[in-house]
Amino acid sequence: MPLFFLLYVSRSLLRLPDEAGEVDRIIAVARPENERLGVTGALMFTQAHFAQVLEGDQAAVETLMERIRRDPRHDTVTIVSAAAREARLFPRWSMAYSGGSLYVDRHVKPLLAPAPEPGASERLAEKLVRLMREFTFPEIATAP
Amino acid sequence: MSRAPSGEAGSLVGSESLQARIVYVIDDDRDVRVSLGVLLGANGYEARPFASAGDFLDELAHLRPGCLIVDVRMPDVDGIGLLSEAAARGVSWPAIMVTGHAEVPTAVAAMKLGALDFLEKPFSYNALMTALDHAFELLEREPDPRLSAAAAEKVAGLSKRERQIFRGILAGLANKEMALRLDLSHRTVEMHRLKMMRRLGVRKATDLFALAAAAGISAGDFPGV
Repeated sequence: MPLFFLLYVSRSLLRLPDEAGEVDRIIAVARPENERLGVTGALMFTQAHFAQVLEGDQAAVETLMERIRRDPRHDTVTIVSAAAREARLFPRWSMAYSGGSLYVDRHVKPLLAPAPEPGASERLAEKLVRLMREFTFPEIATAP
Repeated sequence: MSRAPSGEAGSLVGSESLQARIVYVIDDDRDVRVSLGVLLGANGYEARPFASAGDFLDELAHLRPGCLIVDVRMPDVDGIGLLSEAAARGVSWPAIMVTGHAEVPTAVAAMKLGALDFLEKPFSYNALMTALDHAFELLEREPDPRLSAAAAEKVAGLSKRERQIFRGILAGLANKEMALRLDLSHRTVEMHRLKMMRRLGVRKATDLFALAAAAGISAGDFPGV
């Protein structure tokens, strides 16, 4: 079965103080659901933005993405990349990061705006995925 | 260094301590400490330089909440070691990490320890000021757990009557009203009030409010409030 990879970013509509509770609820729902669908990947929450990688069967990923798109907890949902891949980058689905780091947000926010030049968004997406992998499996991402 | 005796609640939670925006600069490079000190001072921050993580950690228990600018690469204890040691001591003040070699694994290690930002040297003035703005927004939003614990401990030392008076003041009641509602004489309320203030180490009602906020106490269960 071909493997499909999707990365999207979006703007969070969550506000303090119930932000952390909402993120916990998202994880609680997403984890078993993704596992059931055989979808792996990683979710990042920077308090201002979300970024998520979903990888698995194309139909499953697309169905999931349709549901995510309608979630009222975010807007400006922007699909950064969607393509077939040889192998999974993430062996399971996990929460890569949740916090207020400006450094992490700088990896997400630029992808919401139209790319300033051709190829720019691909480079930014690559950097973001590398960061997500580093958060989830440092031992893999640091290997040469 | 000069510091107020730690037994004084006024010095712990007084409004004064919330106003000076202190930035602890921990960098083994003297030039960086000096130039950051000038830059921070010119922007209304109070810069406190430390030449090593060890120097900072030695003082940490006596420092007022502030923001940290930490060099990642330092001899002995490095910036990541400093963050993890501060976290182990219950201190999670906003930290801006600065480095000459921005490596993703190091940045991720810092973020996992709760660092706010990770800037590559030479960083822009704007990037630093943006990070500091965020840092102080966070700091002023979150009560310092150490202050909360100290304040809660003081309140726990009050008698039942003194605690009632404390809540009455928080509810904005005058001594006369409290006397009426608690069925006590005006003089008795005054006496309890004085004893309560002395026990908490505060002199003014505003200090009492600050202490209540730090301890997480509200007017709550004052009779009739």
